[in-house]
Amino acid sequence: MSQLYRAAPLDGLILHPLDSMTLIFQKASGITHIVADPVPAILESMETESVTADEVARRLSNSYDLEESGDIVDIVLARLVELCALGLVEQV
Amino acid sequence: MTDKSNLDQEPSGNLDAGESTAIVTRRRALMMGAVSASAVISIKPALAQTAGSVLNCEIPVPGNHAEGGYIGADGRIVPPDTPGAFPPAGRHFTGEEVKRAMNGRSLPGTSYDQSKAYVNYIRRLQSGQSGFTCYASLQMPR
Repeated sequence: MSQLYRAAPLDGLILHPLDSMTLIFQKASGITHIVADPVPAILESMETESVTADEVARRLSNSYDLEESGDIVDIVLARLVELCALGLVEQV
Repeated sequence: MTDKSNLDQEPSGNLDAGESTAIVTRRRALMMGAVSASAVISIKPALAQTAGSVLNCEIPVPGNHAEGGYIGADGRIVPPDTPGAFPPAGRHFTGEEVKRAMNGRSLPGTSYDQSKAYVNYIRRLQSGQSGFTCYASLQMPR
């Protein structure tokens, strides 16, 4: 449960917010990801640190009014796993 | 509407009744979605879309842009005969071979450290360099 995650270094990405979506271009792979909430907020909250899903959830609930339909930590964890598969987040 | 007030405000938003700060803190609402609701769509480079290309595409180590160079342990191109660096592979590796190597096996015909150096080189490939599109296709989810 204490798996740590770290976001990919920002200098390897180009981020472009588009209203409710954000484009993330990954320089290394040339892939563009179109991400919706809460992904940009999750990446932003991680900064450059190695953090657990619980810590990310705590940071989000400190910064935002969360509109959730389930357990926040479970949702954050699902997104982190998804981002790991894309190379936008790595397991530490 | 977007007044940012007390930065120290607790998330619960309970204002201290004793203080006359009649400011209502409004934070941005964040749609969390559901566990099963994927939040990402990826646009892949056009050349890397077919599944066959992942298996059969080739990555030269090193590519034309670094011809004659040796590969350092960290994957950087270094001058020939640099101590600790590995000579050019002298062959192309297929996407399938590289994919296996990224999962912990060694590239065919290489030692453990040599394979790691070559994989590090491949990870550093940038758009426009030989092998890049093949490598990019390996990174596609699913």
